[in-house]
Parts: sequence; C-alpha cells; structure tokens
Amino acid sequence: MTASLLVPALLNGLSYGLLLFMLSAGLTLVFSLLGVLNFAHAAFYMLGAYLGYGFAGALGFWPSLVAAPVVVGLLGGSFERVCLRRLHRRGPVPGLLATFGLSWLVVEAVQLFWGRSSLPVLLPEVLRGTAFTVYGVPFAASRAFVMAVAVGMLAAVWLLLARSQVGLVVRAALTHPQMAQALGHDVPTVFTAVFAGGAALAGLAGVVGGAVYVTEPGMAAAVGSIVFVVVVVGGMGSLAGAFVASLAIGLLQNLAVAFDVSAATVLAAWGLPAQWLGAPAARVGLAQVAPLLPYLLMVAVVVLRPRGLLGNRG
Amino acid sequence: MAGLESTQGGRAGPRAVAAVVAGLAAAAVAAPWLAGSGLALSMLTQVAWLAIVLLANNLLLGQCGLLSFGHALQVGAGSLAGVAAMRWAGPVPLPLVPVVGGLAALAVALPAGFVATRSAGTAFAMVTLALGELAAAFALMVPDWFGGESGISADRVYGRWAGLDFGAPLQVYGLAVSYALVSGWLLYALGGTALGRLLAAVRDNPARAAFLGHDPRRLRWLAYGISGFFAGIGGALGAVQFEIVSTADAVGLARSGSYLLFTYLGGTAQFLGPLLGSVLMVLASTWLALWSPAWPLYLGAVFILTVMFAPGGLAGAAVAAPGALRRAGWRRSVVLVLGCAAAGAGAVALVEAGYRVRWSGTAVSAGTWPVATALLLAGFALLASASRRRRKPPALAPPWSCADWRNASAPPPCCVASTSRWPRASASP
Amino acid sequence: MLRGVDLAVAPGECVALIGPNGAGKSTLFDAVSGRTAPSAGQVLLGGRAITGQSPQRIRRRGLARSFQITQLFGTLCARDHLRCALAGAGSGRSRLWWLRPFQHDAAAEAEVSRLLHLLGLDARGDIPAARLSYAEQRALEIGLAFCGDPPVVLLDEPTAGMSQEETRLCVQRIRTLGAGRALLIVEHDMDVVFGLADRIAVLVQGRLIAFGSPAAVRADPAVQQAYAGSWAC
Repeated sequence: MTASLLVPALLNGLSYGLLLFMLSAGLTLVFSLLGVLNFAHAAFYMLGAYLGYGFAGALGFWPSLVAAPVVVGLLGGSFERVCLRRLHRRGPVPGLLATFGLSWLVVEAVQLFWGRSSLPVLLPEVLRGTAFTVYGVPFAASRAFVMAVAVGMLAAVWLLLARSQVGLVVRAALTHPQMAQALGHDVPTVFTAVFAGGAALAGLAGVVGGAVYVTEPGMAAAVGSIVFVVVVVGGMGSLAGAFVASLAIGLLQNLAVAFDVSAATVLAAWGLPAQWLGAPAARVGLAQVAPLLPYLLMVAVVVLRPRGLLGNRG
Repeated sequence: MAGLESTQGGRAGPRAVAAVVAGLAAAAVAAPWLAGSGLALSMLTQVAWLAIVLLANNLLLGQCGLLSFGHALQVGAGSLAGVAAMRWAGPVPLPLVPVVGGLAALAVALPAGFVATRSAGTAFAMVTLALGELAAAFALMVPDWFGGESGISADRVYGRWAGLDFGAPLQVYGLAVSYALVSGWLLYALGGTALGRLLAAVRDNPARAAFLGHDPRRLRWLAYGISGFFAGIGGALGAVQFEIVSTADAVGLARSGSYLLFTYLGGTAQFLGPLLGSVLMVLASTWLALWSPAWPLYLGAVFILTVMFAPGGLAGAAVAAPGALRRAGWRRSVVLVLGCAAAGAGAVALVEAGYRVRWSGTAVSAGTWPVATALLLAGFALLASASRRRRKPPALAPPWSCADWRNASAPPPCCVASTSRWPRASASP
Repeated sequence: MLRGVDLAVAPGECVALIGPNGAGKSTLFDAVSGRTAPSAGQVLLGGRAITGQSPQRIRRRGLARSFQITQLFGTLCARDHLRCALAGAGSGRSRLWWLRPFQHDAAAEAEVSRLLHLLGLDARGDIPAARLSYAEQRALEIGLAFCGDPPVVLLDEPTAGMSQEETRLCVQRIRTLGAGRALLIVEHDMDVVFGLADRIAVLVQGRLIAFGSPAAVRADPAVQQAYAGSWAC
C-alpha cells in the first residue's frame, strides 16, 4: 500500500465520484422537488455527450459546454410541459413510467442521428496533457477538469437554490404548491423549469463525461444503474447524501482496482488453502469485483438503513 | 363482462372463470393448426411462457402496486436453473424442470425481496433495478459458472416420459401451455384469497393496513416470493424451448424493462392484461424488430402515450372502449382514430425515411418528406379538433394511483381523499 | 409538541380529549398508536410498555385507532375492510389461513356481518369503499377500529363533518361498540363529549390543564379561560 498507488487511486476515485455526483445531482434535485424520478436522466446524459460532440465540431469545445446543456434542458423542459405535467396529479409512478419510455426513445433517437459506433471526441489542447504529477504518477488534466466543473456546478446550484429569489420560489412551491400558486407564482412553470434544469445538469455531465471518458451508444446503460444506486444509497431526495454516496462509490471502485488482491491471496495471507473456494472464485481479484461494489454497498445500506445515508424519509 | 376480470375487486364467479379457462385451453389447442409454420408455433410457445412471466410481474404491479425493475432476476434464475437441471442435475424429468426453475427463482427472490421490500415505491423500484444489475455484473464476472457472454446451453431431449421426449416443438408448446393454464389459474385464485385481499389493502393504503395489525413489509416480501416462483417457472420454460441461456442478458435491466413495459401495455388492472402483453411482446420482438431498427423508439413512444392516455393498457382500453365510444359519439371517435392513424403514419414514415437516408444510403423519394410531414400535421390537427378541453378524471386510472409513495411513514391519502386531487378547476392546463 | 402529558384511561372508561386546534391532540394519538415515537416518556398498555413500537405491533397488543381523515382501501368493499381488520387483530391462527378465501372462515364471516349491521352498511357492504358516501365511510372508519375486540380504542374526531342525525347515529354506535372498552376520543362537538365521556382531559398548547369529571372540568377556571366562552355550558 504505497503512497504512489494510493494517491493516484484516490484522485481518480475523486474525479469519477465527482462525475457521478454531477450526474446524480440533477436527478436528486428533480426527485426532491417534483417527486418524480427521471428514468431518462442517463439518456439526457448521453444526449448531452452526443450534442457536445456535434457542437464541438461546429462551434468548438468551450461553446459546446454551454450549448449542449441548454439544448438538453430545452428538450427536457418541453417533455415535462407536454407529458409530465398532466401526470403529476396521478402520483409519482406514472411520471416514472413516462420517463422510462422516454429513455428508450431518446437512446434510440440519438443512435438514429449519430449511429451505433463510439464517437471520437477531441478535447482541446489545454485539457489533453497532464495537470500535475503526484508521486511520479501523472494526473490527467481532463480528470482535473471534470472535478473543476463538478465543484463549480455544485456551487452554482447551491447558490441558486439557497440564496436567490428563484430558489426561494422553488422551495416554496415544493412544500406548499397551492399557497405558492395563490401568491401568484406559476407553479407548473416552476416545475417545468426545475425539470429542465435537471436535464441541463445531466447534459453538462454528458458533455464533460463524454469528452473525458467515452461517447458511445452503451453509455446511458453503463451509467444509468450506478446513478440510481447513488440516489438510493445517499437517501432519495438528499443532495448531500448524493454527494457522499457518489464520492464513496467513486473511491471504492478506484481503490479496488488499484489494490487488486484476489481471494486466493487473502486466504494465503491467513494461511488457508486457496482450494477451499474452488478455482474460478479464488482467481477473482478485487479489481474484477469492482463493478459489483456499488451494488453491494447499496444492499448493505438498504438492509441496515433503508432511508439511505442522509435520507429523511422512511 | 368481457371475460377479463379485474384485479380491483370485481371478481368473476367460478362458472365464468371455468368458461374462460376452457376457452383459453380450446384456443391453445386450436392455435398450432391455425398457425401453420414452425416460426408461428415457436412464437405461440413464447407467448405461453411469457404470459406466466408477465402475470407474475403483474402480481407485483397491479395487485400489490409494486413497480419492479428487477423481475428478470427471478426469470433468469429460473432459466439458469432450467438449463442446469437439463444438463447436470441428473434425471430430473423434463416436465418437472419448470418446477425446479420456480424453486430456484424462489430461492433467489426471498433474499432479494428481503432487501428490496425494506423500501417502497420509487426506492423499491431502484433497489430491484440495482439487484438485477448486480446479478448481471456478477454473471459476467464468473464465466466458468455462467457461461459468460455466450451463455450455457443444454439439450432437452434426454429421456422419455409418458412416451414424450419433448424434441418436437409441438410437445414443448403443449408443456408451456399446460404450465401457463395452471399458473394462471393459481395466480387468479390467489387474488381471491385472504392474502390477495390483504395485498390489495397494502397497495391501497399501507399505513392503514399497519394500523390494522398487518406488516406491509412482510406482505410485500411474501408477494415478491410468490411472484418470483412463477417468474422462475416461465423462465425455465423459456430455457426448455431455446435450450440456451445467457445469464447476464437474462437478468439485466434491459430484460426487466421489457417485462415491465409489456405488462403495462397489456394492462395491469385486468387479470388477463399480461396475456395480451405477452402477445404484444412476442410480436414486437419478432415482427417489429425485423421490420425496423428503430423499434425501441416506437415502443418508447407508444409506452409514453399509453401512460398518458390509456393507463389501463390494452386490456383496460378494450374494457372501457364501449363506454368511451358511447360518451364520445361516433363522429368524434372516428376523427380521433383517423387523427391517431395519420399522426402515427406520418411519424413512422419520417423516422424510417430518416434511418434509410442516414445509414443505409438508400435513396428516398423526394415526395416522402412533405407527404410524411403533412400526414403528421394533419393527424395533430384532427386530434386537436377532437380533444376536449374539459378536465375529467381519467376513466382508466390504474388501481395504485390512490397511494402516495413519497412518504411511506405517513398515511397516504386514500382513494377517497384523492378524488379531491382530480382537478375540477385547476390552474394548470 | 407535547409537554408533560400524563394521562391514564381505565378499562370500560371513556375519556374525551378536547382542546383548541393545534393543542397536540393528534400528536398525542400519533405517539400512542405508534405512528411517531415519543422523544421522552412512556406509553403503557395494560402495564406493558409499548413506547415507540410499530403500529402493527401495538394493534396486536390491543390498541386500535381511527383517523380524523378517513383512511380506507379504495378498491376494497366494506366487507373486505372488516375481514382484513379481523385478520390483522390476530385470531391465533397460523398465517397459512390466508391462502384460503375469507369466506371459508364461518365465525369471522358472522362477526363481519354483525359489524356491518351495527354500522348500518348491510346493503352497501359489497361496494368499493371509494364509492361509499362520506358518512358511510366515516362509519366504516370507526368500525375498523372496533374490529377484533381491541380492549383500547382511540377515536380521532369520529363525528367530523357529520350532520346532526349522522352524529346521533355515530354516538349510538360508539356506545354500543365501545361498551366495556377503554375509549379515548378526540372531539370538538361538546354535545358528543358530554354525552359519551366519563372523564374529560383538556389539552392546551401541548399541556394537560385539566383532567376530571365533566362537571369538574366545566367549572375549572383554567379551562374556562382557555376556551374563553367558546362553548355554551
């Protein structure tokens, strides 16, 4: 467990965790404010990545960072206006089902426009190299960029909700929608705006994630279930919980990959023969098991503390 | 009565049930002769065991109000057990392999259900999703046990029972139909038992059920187990038919999502709705998938429209159609149908033309674009002219719209209180 | 928020809990029936502590409650409601009985029919609860609390929203069903209170300011001040 292994793993875990947070923040906000879990959130992420690719080709990378989320936000807002608005009164489930259908639609529509192979997104020069070197291991500038955008996004959202007039209205509409409406605020439009905002956040995460990691048709499926795990582990509707859970999962997975021990090694360290587990299981190392760890964490949290780490509802 | 009994409480008498079962059995017997080709027989077999899978899914969705994105976990466990039983477990008679599948799925459903039913509502849905994905990831991790991406295969012809070796597709069809009829009857009977009523109570108002002395969590867990058992029977029959199972695909979210989609499309408030759903599912996966590469797009769009306008699914719409037709009047109904057809045709034409132009390089005649767009716009115009601006409660609201799941610890408004939520003079359009 | 509420109800006694809105009456009910856990203090049922237990456990121990806002199962008929309530009260049978239809339990069916008759729902027993009238739903709501013979019953504003005649019928039912049980009733209608209660507890801003016979409470100056002549004596 040398520092040269630990610190890069920590940094990678931090950057992946922050990307997860960027993704799950929008989802959590929409859920806590509208009560609807947006199943198409990962699809918006994918849409943002592909739009980012398209806009980067036409406008350049930096403008696409703004353009893509705006377009995704507009599309999300129109879906809310046309479809979800009439479903709100029927409870949270019809909205979830509608976004489930939307996810199938969006993922296929994206492949209609951009095809079924992965796209080469070019990062601008300044993000291609190394940001800094730690213990002799270079830390990619792109990863640092992800972290910067995530932190910036978190700060902006917090400022908007906690400090601004808009945030005040949104929070009022959450707890007392009829009263807020009676006071003259257009609550349905507020809901549309919140949903559009959540979609835009997903789109922003998509532009960044698609550029830094990969842009391909399977990206929505790959990241979709992890985002839901983050939301459940953190506590449905808790933004702070999503933050903690994203970082926990990011760190857990990267540390597992870095410290690849197999069951056989562990058994040997305890002086037990590896044959006990059988050849296939003994060979499995921690790095291979890494994809399972977020789910196992979720199982543990749900069994021990069903409302999530920082959730406040039963 | 259309022969489709409701899960909401209006249950048919034993004579009606017997008549329906006899009718279905007769149709099942006649179908292979009417179908003709081997492909059609294979599709019918799929309809039979998928019906069991979707009926099990509807036990959770319609009867208990539990939205599960992890149904494929139990189905896949049953498939895997089926393949294992055929291949390794010695002389398990083939006719009993589905039971083995059911028991294996039950063994998976009990711990999975224990974890999942700690939550309710949206959180439950997410936990079941993650459990399915956990299993899929695990299956890929140990290819020696699960066959990796290519899966594990088996041979179903390994003995004779009562003169049948089940090599012929017709015999497999007979097996699937027999299990489907028995499972369907058992699941229907469950709805009429005390347990069925209690599950409906927990669906409608879980907190009130708790104050009456019942444990909602335990009841949901029980339902999850029962649903898993039947899902496993269906899965094992699928393994018997195709003689191969790719575990990672069989248990993942994509599969669970399909089961959910078609259960809902078939109809959740009518007991036989999932049977319609299984027919739709087989048709979609064979014809629709072959006809257009954009099939997920169409399914997604149809699903959204169903959620918005026909929450009772196809079965619900069929049951409510006569009344709705009477209320709307012939002219409006014709305009609505024409509008839907035109808009649908226009949209499909645009998508298909788009695909061809973009990817297959086939030339599309210049007239296609304006015609398709015109159709689409005409359809919308017809729909707009026919739609009422008056708000009224959706006549086909699914049974669980009564329950508010956001705060499971507080008594949710019951169906009565929720009628006040149906807008009479709402500010939102 | 409740501050130092010390209340005891004896078997066969009917205690009415009154007080202005926001006094904490529903909070008290929630704490006692298991909906919320009290932060301090104890709830004793027949000498055994039930503080902070789950609602279903408390019901099985013998404490039932009704709700101010009717809480029913919309798609179930009234008969099914009572059957579920009886099943929940726990007749000592194993859970395997649940795999049989309710109709197979003759004794329970007889009890359900008797209760339906008492509640005036004979003819309406097989209609989904969502389609019953408000008064019928309230009657069912109260009937659910008495199902299964619980020794202690909490009724939260049983006559809320009822007309004179409906109130009269409701009080009659409560008298019949509640005979021999410990009853704790929250009420705003003073006629009902003085008609049913053996003792009255007055809750104001979370504090118990009086607890005694109706006459004593009526004469209590603290109570009179709290209500400032809002009810006719």
